[in-house]
Amino acid sequence: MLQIKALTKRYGEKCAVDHLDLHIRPGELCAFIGHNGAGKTTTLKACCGILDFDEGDILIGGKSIRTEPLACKQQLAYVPDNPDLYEFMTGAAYLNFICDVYGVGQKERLERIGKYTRLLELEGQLDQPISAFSHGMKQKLALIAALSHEPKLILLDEPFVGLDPKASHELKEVMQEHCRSGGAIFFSTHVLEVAEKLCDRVAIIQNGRLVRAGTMEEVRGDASLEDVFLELEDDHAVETH
Amino acid sequence: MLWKLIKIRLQGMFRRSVNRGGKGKKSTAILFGLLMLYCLGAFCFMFYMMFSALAEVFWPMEQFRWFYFALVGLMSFALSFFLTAFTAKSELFEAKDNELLLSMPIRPRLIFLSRMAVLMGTEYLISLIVMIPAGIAWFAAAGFNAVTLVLYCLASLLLPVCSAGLACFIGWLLARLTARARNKTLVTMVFSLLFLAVYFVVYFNANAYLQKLLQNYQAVAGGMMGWGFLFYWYGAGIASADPLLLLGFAAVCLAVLALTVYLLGRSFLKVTATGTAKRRKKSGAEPPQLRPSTLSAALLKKEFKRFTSSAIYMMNCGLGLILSVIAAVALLLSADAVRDFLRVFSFLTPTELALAASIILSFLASMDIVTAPSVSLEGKNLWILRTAPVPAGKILKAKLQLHLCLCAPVTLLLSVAAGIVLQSDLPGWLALVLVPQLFVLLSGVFGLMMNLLLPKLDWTNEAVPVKQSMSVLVTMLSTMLFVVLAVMGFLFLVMSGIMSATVYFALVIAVAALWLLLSWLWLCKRGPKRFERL
Repeated sequence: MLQIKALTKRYGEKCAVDHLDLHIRPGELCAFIGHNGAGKTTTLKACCGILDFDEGDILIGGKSIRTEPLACKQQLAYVPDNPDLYEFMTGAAYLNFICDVYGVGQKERLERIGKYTRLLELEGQLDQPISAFSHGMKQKLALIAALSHEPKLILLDEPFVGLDPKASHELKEVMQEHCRSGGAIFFSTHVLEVAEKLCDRVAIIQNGRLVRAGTMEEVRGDASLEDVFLELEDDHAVETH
Repeated sequence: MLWKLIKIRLQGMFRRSVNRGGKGKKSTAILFGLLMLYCLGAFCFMFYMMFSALAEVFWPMEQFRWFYFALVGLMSFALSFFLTAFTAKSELFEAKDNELLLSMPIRPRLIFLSRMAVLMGTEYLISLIVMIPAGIAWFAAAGFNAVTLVLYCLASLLLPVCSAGLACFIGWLLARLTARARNKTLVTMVFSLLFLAVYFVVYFNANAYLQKLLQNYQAVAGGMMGWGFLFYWYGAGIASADPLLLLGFAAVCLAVLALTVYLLGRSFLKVTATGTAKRRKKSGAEPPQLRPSTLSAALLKKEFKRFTSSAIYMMNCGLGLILSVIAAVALLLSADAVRDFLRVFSFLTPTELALAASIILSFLASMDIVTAPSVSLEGKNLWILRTAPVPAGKILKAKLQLHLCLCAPVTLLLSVAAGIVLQSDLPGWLALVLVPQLFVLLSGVFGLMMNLLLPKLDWTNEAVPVKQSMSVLVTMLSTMLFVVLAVMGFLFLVMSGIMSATVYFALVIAVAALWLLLSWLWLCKRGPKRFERL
């Protein structure tokens, strides 16, 4: 579903992502973890076509984001860590706009929006202007918009930040359901417990390099994900000194 | 602490002005600086000419010398107050870092004072545009006098304090009103239109007012000694070097400052908190209406919503729309007077007259620059369109469509009004309808092109891309300048018989059409790629 091949992105002298390779298959839920500034958001942005990259390629459903961006974007949904939405629209108008963009039929949009607004407890709030939404409500709205067109691949940047515990729980359920039905999710997080419980795959990035990737069992072995992550961080600190 | 707060605010403003996003920041900043310098020069020259005329009249009359300085003071006060009254609301109460600073152990009054100091700085800059040329004009007429110069400088330093205080009160009033209003856009629009109406009435009648003033200066001066006592004290204090009057003037200015800081500083926290509190309607039990549209319709609706939701966008980029409607009504109501006036151009055939009128109408059409900030306005929302499976060309097309949907019908209305008044023949009607529409299309296409070349996406306040961006400035100035040059060319080439009117107008229209064609080709060929790289 998502194939990242030797992805390299430089900001001037700094190499934000360095020859990163990753393959996420349909049905997989993959967590992307790393310290602040490791290159998680850069990778996610490159995957959804917002950010141009210097080397490598990204394939979505076998199509390159560089050469066939529209075909790739039709298959994916992206939710940034701080979703800035159109504040001049109401929640409903925004969802309607997104459904129009992805060509979702009326019946399907009503069903899906109804389902996810109930699930994330945004019912009765959609007629409000987005400017009146709290951060968490905007996050929920962005998630509903992402789910409304049933993408095959969902890219989420810190999706649990700002969500209340109930919505967080529901989102985990939705993510698992999406993957059970053949979709794939690639998301970044700092909450290692969530990654450990929720995901079947994990990728650890450190200073732009992918240092560990595989199934959860392969990566953590007998230890916890937190132990593995901290150990890698310590090793890196020793190397750099 | 106060100085630190002011410094942070100034740094933010400076970065906002210089850092205009995209490549070639340095050259853009230089270009922006040059444009600003040109505008400053033009204003200074205008005020110099105006005050030279006044100085010639009042310098020989010793008992009315004070009146000259009083008028300078009044003009400086009015200009700086008018130009800052609307920014006062956003500068004082809607600054993005208000909440952050209020959460720190800093007294709200100090934060308010720092905001007010920056506003006052703007007032000083504006008042300099009046004070410097007015001072030069006076000393050129009356000869240099060191005492007058020192008093003029000292008193002029105090005047902006007073206008800043008044601007703060207007800002406070607007903030209070809009905080409680359901439709903030409408309230702001109504206030802006009222302000604009006053501005245009004064602007268009400036000459008549000046003439009346010169004819009735004794009566006006008498009045000023009553209702305008502050300006009388200011003027008489400088002209007669009267320390008592100057002290009185200084006391009033400082009292206004103290009162503003005391009263508004007290309510600063309350107004800021009310402004940031989100108003929510009662939740509707009924599910929202979700009707499908085509992609193009959805994009156009989105653009339309953005335009109508922002008073600042509507007022600054759609000003020509309002003026066109006013002009159309005014033309129809004063048809006979217009026809009388046009007898001056009796050497022109009806078709040539219609061509000349079509160029004038194009001036109003070129004031509509809806597309010029439309890309910049995507700002932090750009990710939505960039991650959507929408060709960039369609996004740009929707932006241009909005411009045409808004401007073309209104311009057509004006053309019809002009056609009726001019009683044009068929070629004349064609010119009146088609030439302004050409300019509508030109300002839309060129504005979009300029915004793609000079985007400003890192704004935190909508006023930045709409009012202070290079794309808006370049689009408006270049299209308006073209029309002004066309009119000047008409005066020099046609009126003096060097070129026939028909050939001249054909040339002007051909140049505009070529400009449009080149912009259009650029937009089609490079526009989408440019958008994708933003």
